[in-house]
Amino acid sequence: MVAKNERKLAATIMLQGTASHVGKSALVAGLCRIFMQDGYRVAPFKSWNMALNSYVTADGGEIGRAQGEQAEAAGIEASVHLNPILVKPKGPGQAEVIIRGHHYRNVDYETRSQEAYLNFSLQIIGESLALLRRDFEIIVLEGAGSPAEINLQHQDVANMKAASLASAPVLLVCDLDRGGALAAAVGTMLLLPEEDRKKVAGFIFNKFRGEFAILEPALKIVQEKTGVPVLGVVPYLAQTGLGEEDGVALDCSYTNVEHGADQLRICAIRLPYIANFTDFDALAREKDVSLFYASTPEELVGADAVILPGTKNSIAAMRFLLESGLALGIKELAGCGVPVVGICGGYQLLGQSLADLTGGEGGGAPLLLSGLGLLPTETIFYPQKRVRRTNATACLPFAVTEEVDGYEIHMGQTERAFGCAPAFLLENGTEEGAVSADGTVWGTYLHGLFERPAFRRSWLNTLRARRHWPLLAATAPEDKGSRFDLLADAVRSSLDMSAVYGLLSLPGPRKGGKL
Amino acid sequence: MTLGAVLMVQGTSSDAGKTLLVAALCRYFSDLGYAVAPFKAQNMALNAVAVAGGEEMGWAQVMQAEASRTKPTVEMNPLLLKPVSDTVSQVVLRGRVVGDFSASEYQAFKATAFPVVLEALATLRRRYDVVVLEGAGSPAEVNLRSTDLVNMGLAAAVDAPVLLISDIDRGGMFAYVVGTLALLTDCERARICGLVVNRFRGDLERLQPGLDSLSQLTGVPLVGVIPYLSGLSLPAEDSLGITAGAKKVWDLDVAVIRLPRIANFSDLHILGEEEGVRLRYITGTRELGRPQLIILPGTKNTIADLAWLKETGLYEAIAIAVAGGAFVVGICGGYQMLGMTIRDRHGVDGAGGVASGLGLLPLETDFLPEKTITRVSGETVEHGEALEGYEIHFGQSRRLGGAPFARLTGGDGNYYEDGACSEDGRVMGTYLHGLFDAADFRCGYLNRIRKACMLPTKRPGLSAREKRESSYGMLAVAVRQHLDCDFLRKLLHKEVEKR
Repeated sequence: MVAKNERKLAATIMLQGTASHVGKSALVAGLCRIFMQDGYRVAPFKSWNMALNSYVTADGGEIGRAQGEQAEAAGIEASVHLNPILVKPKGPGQAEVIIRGHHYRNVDYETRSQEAYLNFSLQIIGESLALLRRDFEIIVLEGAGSPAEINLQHQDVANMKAASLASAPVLLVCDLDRGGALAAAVGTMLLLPEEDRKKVAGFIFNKFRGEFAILEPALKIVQEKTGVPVLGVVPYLAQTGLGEEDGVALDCSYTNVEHGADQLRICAIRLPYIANFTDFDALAREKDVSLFYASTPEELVGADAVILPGTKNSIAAMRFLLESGLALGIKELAGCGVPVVGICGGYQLLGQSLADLTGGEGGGAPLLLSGLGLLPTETIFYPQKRVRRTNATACLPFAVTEEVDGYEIHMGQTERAFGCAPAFLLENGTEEGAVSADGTVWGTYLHGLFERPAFRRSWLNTLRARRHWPLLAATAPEDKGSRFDLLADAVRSSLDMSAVYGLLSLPGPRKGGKL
Repeated sequence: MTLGAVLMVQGTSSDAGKTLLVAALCRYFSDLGYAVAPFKAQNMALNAVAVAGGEEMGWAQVMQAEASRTKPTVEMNPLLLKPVSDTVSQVVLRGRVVGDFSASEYQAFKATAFPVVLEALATLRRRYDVVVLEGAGSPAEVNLRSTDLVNMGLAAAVDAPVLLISDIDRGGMFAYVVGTLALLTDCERARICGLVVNRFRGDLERLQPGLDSLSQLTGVPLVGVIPYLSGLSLPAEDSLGITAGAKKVWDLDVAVIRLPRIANFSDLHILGEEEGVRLRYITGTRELGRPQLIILPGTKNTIADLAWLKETGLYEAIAIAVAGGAFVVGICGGYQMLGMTIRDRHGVDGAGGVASGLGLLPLETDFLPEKTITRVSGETVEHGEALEGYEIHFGQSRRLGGAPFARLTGGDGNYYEDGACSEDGRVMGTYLHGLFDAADFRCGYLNRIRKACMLPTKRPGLSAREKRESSYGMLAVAVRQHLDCDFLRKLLHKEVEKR
């Protein structure tokens, strides 16, 4: 029985794709922004996400980076319920599973396909969804990959099963840029079981460039073949400026970088299971920075600074550094005074040793491994994971008392040797990170530390000083809001919004909202 | 006279791996002792190559011909579209320019072109045992079906069995395959006799159940699953695939000016592969840096791109770099730009007009309505290094002083001097595309730059040809390892007997 005073559950709508990288995440962010502009309380939701770039919520939970950014687009504080299951690959067939922001356990492929595990996942998803639907008016759900992978359909909790739990109509996003979009739309519909096919309420053709008149007859054919209307054709949006979720995007955006003559060359090491590489987006956006990724020692040539990013598997990463010859290359550069920075997993690699006493990190027997030896620190891995957001004050020589915001996600504990100075002082008074005696090598567990313009510029200016280039002033903080508004404008003008509101059973924009 | 067998490769999307699969099949059948040729009815690309007959064709078919161990002829790619702007393309039919067409004009022109395309294919089939056909894009773009001459329209006309290739790396492969089949007509669907899954990384055992049900569902047998291949040394077909990077130890920094209408830059791929060379494509003064060598490549429109050079400030920046000791090579359109003046009295190069060049070489260029298309060979004047390549250009350049770059013999047997060098040898220009393919000249030239920059010289390495040859070998091995070769042989044996 429905109690009289019970609040109405949020309306739901879901975006799924015909393949990876069709642009779902940006479209969900755009829709969230539109509903916010229209006066609704809206939340994004992705039931299951496989990604190595995380976002840390205010209460110290870990979710997919995209859901964090979509929450910002929706103008809400991100919660762990926005992405109740996060899967972080860490070895062949091996992955860490994070349930509602917190480490659950490492599972292998076999476990993931077991029925008990699937039921457990669906229960988690259902509960988080129910909570969100009580607190918000609209939930925009996002699927993962394609719902029509027939070898995986039975275990796919990210797409149609989530749509069922949320009673959400599904919009299928197709990528026109790649060609074969019509086939992808029709084929996906054909491969869906009858009950799932009924959920698909419309197509969105994304990344369009060309003459609409030539495309139009094709849209009609798709509509006839499937009985599903096309609700929008979204133009190719070159730069949404949203952080990327996985390494596929990394392959596309930072290889074959051309360095400007007046640009600092910052080299991030392409570690296996590289994680949270969105840390460097802020650096890459600086005009005097050319960021590139290196996976061989040859590529280090000419770097003004080297950054060791986070990794899901520090042991595998250390082995990779040794085998590839990068370990030697990085040490040589550091010996010449080139600044080297380690973040999270990268910080661990900079130390003297890494000890995995329980075999949890490497996924095998206990072991002790030498680090790069550039910082007098030692790391021990524990099964407990630390996830928190924190403010910190830098005690680094080039940025004393500079404030940063950051977040930590890690399993190891790192101890400094006596006499080694910390890099940061956290808001709770603890010392964090480590810096070498000459100040050029430093490491920290704080992700996102380059977001603050003043700190970022202070460090970049040390690199400029090494080149005898004039120092620059910090840039203004970036206005994410206006970026989301631009995205919303583009999506609004290409989608049939009245049909979307129809699917939500909502009357449309509220009074006082935009339009 | 019997006609050669035909086999066609079509893809479920762009970039599914058609071009390489065709090259791989060509080499595989060639290894079996057949005379093989590649064929693609229509190519949209700026990387044209002149072939023996003096006509131009797409780079990919030249590469595939090499994989087939045969000489490229224009029949292998009878239609070539070279984008002039976003909406207009220059149409080249059987190697000869027909004119500039808009998208809708071209659709109408296709009816005229189709018989020529079929005749070209018939010519190949009279000469070869096997012709491997390549489709374009996806055959399921149903809005373009009525005028199709590159996918199913062609397959139907020559009754070719079709292998469908699909890229699994980006997900949604099952849907792309099922959807493609669903959008085809019954006759078209019946042509598809096998599926090739491309770029697979992961555990095949886990994929197998999905592949089995896909075969059941569609009735199309699986011919094989090709893993993600890396380490191939073959240039990409069109501008999207431009790759140049900082991925190695280098002592020579080579900056290629990425002209807006850049053409025939596959020439330069080989330089980027050379040991110690970093090849970068740049579009502004900011990225110029201090390269030891600047290359001005060919262009579809010399005068417009020269104006662009002036707008971007590269015009001055190049002159300053030369004054600072940098070497400059201009090829074709880039060669014209290095001269004093460029005159287009007939509007051949665009809107017409007169432009002043960079003035780094004593040279004048006039655009004439006749296009020069020829295969040439010869040697450099100063060092006698052997050269081989081709010319494709409208303009005629006259040297007013200095020394020529090369002595060449054209397809018609005529002997002439080509190109120009500045007195100090640092600035040089030529109409010869493919000049860096010749190992002697390439290594000699790079070492001359090294000497001038007080860098140690290097010994010559593997030639581009040798590297490509090993890539073709790798492709053939991939076919033998991952595709059902019995099936492929049966597909041909229905019609084909070894000659």
